[in-house]
Amino acid sequence: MLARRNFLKVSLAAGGGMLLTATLPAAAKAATLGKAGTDAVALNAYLQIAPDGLITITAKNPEVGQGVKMMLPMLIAEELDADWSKVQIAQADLDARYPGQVAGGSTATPLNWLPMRQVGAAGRQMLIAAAAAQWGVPAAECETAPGVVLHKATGQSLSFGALATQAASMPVPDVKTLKLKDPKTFRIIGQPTRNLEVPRIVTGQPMFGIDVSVPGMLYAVFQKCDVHGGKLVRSNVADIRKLPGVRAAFEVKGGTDLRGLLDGVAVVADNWWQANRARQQLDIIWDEGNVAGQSSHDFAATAIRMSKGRPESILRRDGNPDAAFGKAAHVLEAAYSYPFLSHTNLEPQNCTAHVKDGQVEIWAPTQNPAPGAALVSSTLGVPPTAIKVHMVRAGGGFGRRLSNDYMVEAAWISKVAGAPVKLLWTREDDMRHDMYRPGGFHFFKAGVDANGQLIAFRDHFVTYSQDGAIAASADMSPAEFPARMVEHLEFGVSMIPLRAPTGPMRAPRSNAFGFAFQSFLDELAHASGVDPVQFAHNILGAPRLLPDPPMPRQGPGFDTGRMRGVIDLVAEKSGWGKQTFPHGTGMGLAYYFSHLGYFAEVVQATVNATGEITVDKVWVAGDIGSQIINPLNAENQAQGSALDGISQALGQALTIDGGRIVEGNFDSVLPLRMRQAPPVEVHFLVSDHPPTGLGEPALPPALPALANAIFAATGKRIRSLPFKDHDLSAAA
Amino acid sequence: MLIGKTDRVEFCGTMKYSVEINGAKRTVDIDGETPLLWVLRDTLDLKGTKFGCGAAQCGACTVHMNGHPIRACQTPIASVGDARITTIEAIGDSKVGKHVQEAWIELDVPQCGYCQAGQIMSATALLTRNPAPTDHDINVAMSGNVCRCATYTRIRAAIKHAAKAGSI
Amino acid sequence: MNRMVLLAAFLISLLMGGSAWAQTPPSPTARGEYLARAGDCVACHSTPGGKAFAGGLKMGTPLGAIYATNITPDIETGIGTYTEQEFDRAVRRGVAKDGRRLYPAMPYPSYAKLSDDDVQVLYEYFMRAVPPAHQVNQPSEIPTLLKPRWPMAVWNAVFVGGGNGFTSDPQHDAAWNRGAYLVEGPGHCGACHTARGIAYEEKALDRSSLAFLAGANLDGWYAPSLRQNRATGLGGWSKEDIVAFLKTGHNKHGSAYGSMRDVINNSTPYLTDEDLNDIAVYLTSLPATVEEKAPVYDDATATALAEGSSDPGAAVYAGQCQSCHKETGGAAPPFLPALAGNPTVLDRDASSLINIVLNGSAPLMAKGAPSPYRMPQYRAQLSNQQVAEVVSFIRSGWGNNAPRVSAGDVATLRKSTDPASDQPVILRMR
Repeated sequence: MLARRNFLKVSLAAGGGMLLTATLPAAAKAATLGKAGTDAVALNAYLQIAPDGLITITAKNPEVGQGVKMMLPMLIAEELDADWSKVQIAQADLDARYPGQVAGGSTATPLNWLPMRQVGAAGRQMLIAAAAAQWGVPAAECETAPGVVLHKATGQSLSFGALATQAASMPVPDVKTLKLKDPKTFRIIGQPTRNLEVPRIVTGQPMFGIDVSVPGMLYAVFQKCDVHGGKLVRSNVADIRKLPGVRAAFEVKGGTDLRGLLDGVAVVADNWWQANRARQQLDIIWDEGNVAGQSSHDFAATAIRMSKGRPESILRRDGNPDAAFGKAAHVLEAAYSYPFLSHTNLEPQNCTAHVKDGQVEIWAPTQNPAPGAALVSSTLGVPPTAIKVHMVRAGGGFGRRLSNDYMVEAAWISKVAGAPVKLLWTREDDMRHDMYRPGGFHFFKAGVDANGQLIAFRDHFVTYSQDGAIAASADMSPAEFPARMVEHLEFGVSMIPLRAPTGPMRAPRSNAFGFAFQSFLDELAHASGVDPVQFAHNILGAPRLLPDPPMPRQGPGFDTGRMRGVIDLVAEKSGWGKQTFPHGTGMGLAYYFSHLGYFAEVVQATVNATGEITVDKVWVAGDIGSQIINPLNAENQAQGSALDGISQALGQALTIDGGRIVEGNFDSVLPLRMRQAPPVEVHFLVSDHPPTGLGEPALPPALPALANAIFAATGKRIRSLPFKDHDLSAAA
Repeated sequence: MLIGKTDRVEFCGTMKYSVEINGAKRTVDIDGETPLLWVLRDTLDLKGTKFGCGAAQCGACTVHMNGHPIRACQTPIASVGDARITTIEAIGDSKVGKHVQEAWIELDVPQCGYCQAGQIMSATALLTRNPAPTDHDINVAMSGNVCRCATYTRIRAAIKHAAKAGSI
Repeated sequence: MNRMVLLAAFLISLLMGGSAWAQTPPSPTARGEYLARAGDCVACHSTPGGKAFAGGLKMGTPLGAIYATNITPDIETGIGTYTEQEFDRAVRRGVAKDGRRLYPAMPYPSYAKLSDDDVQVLYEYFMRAVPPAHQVNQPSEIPTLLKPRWPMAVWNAVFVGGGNGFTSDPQHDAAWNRGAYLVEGPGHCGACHTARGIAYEEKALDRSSLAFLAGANLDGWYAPSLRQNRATGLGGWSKEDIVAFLKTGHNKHGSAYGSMRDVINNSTPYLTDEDLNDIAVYLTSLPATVEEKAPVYDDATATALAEGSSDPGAAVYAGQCQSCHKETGGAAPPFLPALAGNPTVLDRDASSLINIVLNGSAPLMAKGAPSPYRMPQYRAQLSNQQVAEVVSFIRSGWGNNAPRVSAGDVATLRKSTDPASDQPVILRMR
């Protein structure tokens, strides 16, 4: 049984309570949305019902493959008591009536769990009110079955379609009076529900940003300086204008914000191939600025030098680690590192824009349309009211599309070219102009006492700064695990100046810290002769809720009991400790809490004589609260997240040299492929806590679980990513 | 003075190419070097075939040439000749293609969905040639198609599901 | 004798002037620039992104790395103080102004064949049209013990000999002689395509020897034979094929790679059609070194690929190569090279094939326009064993009959080579 106060708690904490008041009353008689019949009636900004009973539910958030376009309507449909087979889903534009139109931080579930259900419940209440008025019976005597309102006493029933028009004129209910369903009676939430978009996807219907087409549209490419923020000196753009199909080619003087419009040359042509071929003949002189030290090689050398001194700043200090090391039975030091990564959305960045008569219309596969519109407004000097943004399905988000550089580029190019344009980047553009997952270095030292208890821990974290401040997504929380679990602990930070822009990537920070910390903790377990599951129990201690760490989106705090719960579940499901493997095969465990989700994962891996790694299987156990809203998608997301982590661990790294990214395509940055993809078994631990998101938290444990499995298999500890750079042939 | 003059060397120059796409003859007037991918997407408005890498490394642009899976991004239109080209828009016309699409829907394979047209084209070619593929066969046939969302578990299951449907 | 040579050269240059330069005779600097293109001076005497002809390119030699020198007319660091005679001595004799002997990475044994007139216009070009660039030459990394350059004088005496100027062959027509001059002289094709002896000397400097342009291994690439060998040479190429290749870097038989990329990017596409034709006339006259059977296409490989083969190389091919190069091995020439019957595939020495599979190819830039298609690198995706298997498969498929390669061969090249960049290399001539 769920504790209702839990819902309120999380929704209030996350600002959800404001959502309904902001939307429902104002939106009650909103204009018809979507593509339903013209006689369909809108009950509110999310809901419209046609006389034939077809219900169109508007999904307000950007869809990037996380399934939110299904999940939010499922919440509404449940409380509306809709017949799901009569539901169709419309995608909202960027619209002030909808709050929080962003795909990031696995926030859609915790922020919308209550408000979206309230939207549905309000609709249901209005339908009941309409029926009650027609029948002249008290509303309290009416109930609903899927798609119909019933009055059992008189045996009367009316379909939602028949009631829609009258329902729309009913007063919008007060949020406080809304009655939500008992979760035990859910018919839609919790059911494996197929994505309604799939039939269109498998038949190749145009639905992605790259597929947008508007009348008179031209195709654009944009060449920027591969040294981030380089300034354009001069180019042969005049020659480019004479090339086949080219309709416009011009230099763009941009600003200094690496997430905004930058210097470059735009080429606009009749088709994309012509535009890009013409662009390949550009000869541009750039002022690259100072790139001294801007190479992966120099970063590593600097980090090692920094590690020999005191950290530039202390992020956290508990007790006296140095003294505690002296008392430890086992003391271990190790250096971990991980590289810069590109998000590599399979759909390269693109955007279609039409600037005409001071009005801007944009079709963007973005995760974060509102800041994009603001960026266009400030860069083009048009008022926000003159900008309309259509959110188009994105071929992957992973955090890259939280930035809107492609949006402002498309708008600018359309403005200068005087025509609607579709800007499309090449794969190389995409890899070389990303907001990179920052690399980083951890110089660890830790002590374990004779009882197998972690008593002292130190991390000198060498990370990156940009313009004097810590680079985006390159920071660390003072509450990073195992802080608060260890009596004597110090987190110190030093920073290397960086020119390349950084930003969030799926499970930001956690995707890297998970590897470093969880691998090192595994090292400590083995060094102390303690089984890693037991070692985790020792660290976590008794089940307890630790208060909010000072990081955003960490919700009610860290519950050590929930963490133990998923560790025990994954150990049970994987048969942890119950099998003996031949040399070359082993299991590794890792666990991590991020984005309100608790995940523990076990990887079984085999390393053959030539050093080739085979990931045999992955077990995932997660606690994301009381309700798995769509189990069909939840399993898919958890499997994909775990394999995303395996993919990063095995084959992905960017090299910076002379301030530019060396790699450009999937021949050097290796995404996971079918032949490498193991089965992934997913288990959810349903707990008495509010439901939380699943876009990210299953990723971080996958990398260290694999590293730990390789250690178990071979005795070789991998302390830097990716694994493809390690020769394991001698180890197996 | 900069090099990069406009007197570039043309392999073929613009000319008319008549190609068979999804059973219909289509004529395009275009530079022969243009990849089939861009002819499909920009000229013939068949946008189901996707651009992912432009280097035959991701498989998003997979189409069939005489039933064989090829990467449209690396197929100059001048090289197509009278070969039969089939794209995702028409793969459901074949029995195997239909089974594959149905399996994808049944198992709810996609996440973002961007790669799936290419995956379906490769899977259909595999099942047409080999109605009961082993895991190894699937690995060989499908490893040229990247799924960034890593829906590989379901792609594999859906191929086996479609194989079963095909055998009934 | 000397006088006859000079007369012949004069007659040839007259002929050339008539055909190549149409009505208005170009200025000496323009003719010099044309010759600098033909000689591809820029490829070695510039670095990508650097100033034209300012030197600095690192070149490996068996003794250690050396750096190409600054040949801009900069007074302090370049050749600004060179007289025409001193310039001539460097170009045709390999002796610098200060008397130092140049290392034979500078192809002066070939340039020795330049006509007086061509040396003169080349001097005019470098002195008047090339902007001076102040860039100090980098010392060589050849160990001090081996540094004294006097042995080069002996080397020159032995290997360059007293050979002076180009000897035209009255048995052949003017086109052939012009082609021979371009190939043996400024084009210095033998620098890569002729094998070198133990003293780093090219084994032959002209058509009098069968070793000339018979193919050679250089820096991890095998520069194929340009002779009429049916399988491994140009025996199957028409003159038009050769002209197309030199003009664009591609033809129906194959695409340029390795150092030939520099030649395509900076040199041969800038030559006149007449000169390219003359080169083809000359090359197609070089007899085969051995009688080879032209490869006969065998479609068994295509059938095996279509039906699924148990050959491990076929599995790699099906997964990595087939979607572009096709199950027929026919690919899409001239854009993507065929593998069936391709001389580079058939060479005994598989270095180039292995190198391309491992490292991919950088864009060819014919007159500033990059070629539309590019071979990706596979060094990160395939193990040495897998590369060996797929290369062996390709070398024995579709009627190809070249020997297998081993994982060890691949390992050696993996260590000694770097991945090709996808970025076009732009070398400016001014």
